[in-house]
Amino acid sequence: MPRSYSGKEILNFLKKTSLMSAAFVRDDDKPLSTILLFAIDDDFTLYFATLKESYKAKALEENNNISISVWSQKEMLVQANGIVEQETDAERAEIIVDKLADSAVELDDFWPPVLQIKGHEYAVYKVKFNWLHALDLTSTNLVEKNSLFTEVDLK
Amino acid sequence: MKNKILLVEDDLFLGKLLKKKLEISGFDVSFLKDGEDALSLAKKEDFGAVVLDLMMPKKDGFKVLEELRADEKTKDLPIIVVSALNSEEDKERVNKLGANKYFVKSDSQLAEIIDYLKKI
Repeated sequence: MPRSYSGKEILNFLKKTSLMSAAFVRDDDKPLSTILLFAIDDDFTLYFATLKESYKAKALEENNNISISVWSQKEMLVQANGIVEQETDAERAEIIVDKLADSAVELDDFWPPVLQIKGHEYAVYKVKFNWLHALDLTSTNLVEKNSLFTEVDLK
Repeated sequence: MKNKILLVEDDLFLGKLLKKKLEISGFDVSFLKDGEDALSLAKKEDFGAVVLDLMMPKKDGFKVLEELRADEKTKDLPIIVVSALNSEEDKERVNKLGANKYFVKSDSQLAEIIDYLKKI
């Protein structure tokens, strides 16, 4: 049977996983999904960055909702929704960029290839989740009638 | 001293990532974001190599390279240029100024830069 997780186990999984699928609402109300590097703190505050002129940055100016999935084959799936806030304080933004670099450093073939990104103007964001759950992917014995997800109380 | 690298890059994320990757590879890295500070540190401390961006605030990489080659203390220091500039004119200029190697960002991987530094 799939097992449930503690918040700490889910956090540990998120900390060792550097890339997430993230979905936004574009300024024309159409969906936009992408892959992003992320870092996460012990209180489940998540961080990411993108170029200031990117579609993601423009979408977030109009709608600050985000939905993410983090997944590892035969291990765990985490899904969460939250609210995005841009970090405008330069010192705090630099600390976040450092966390993101820490997260990227273990990736052998880091993608996107940072050397090929033109422009230096990053927008740095933090996410406060309002909902998060996790699914055990180690079990092959799935019971579809019952929820297999571990809900995490973020309050 | 050989494993001490001066990394000069104004892209904060790229600089921090390259610094961390170099440190994992055993290098001791000083990371600065502008040419003026880098030049000052290069003249004060002993480095095994310089990794230098070209387009930077205060003092650009061309000027830093020129001044490093003109200084008795740093004239033979290996200098690896890592830049988004990709024209033959820029490459020729860097070559004439005395850089040891030129990596064009759009054609390079971080691992290539690290491997090159390991061989110096």
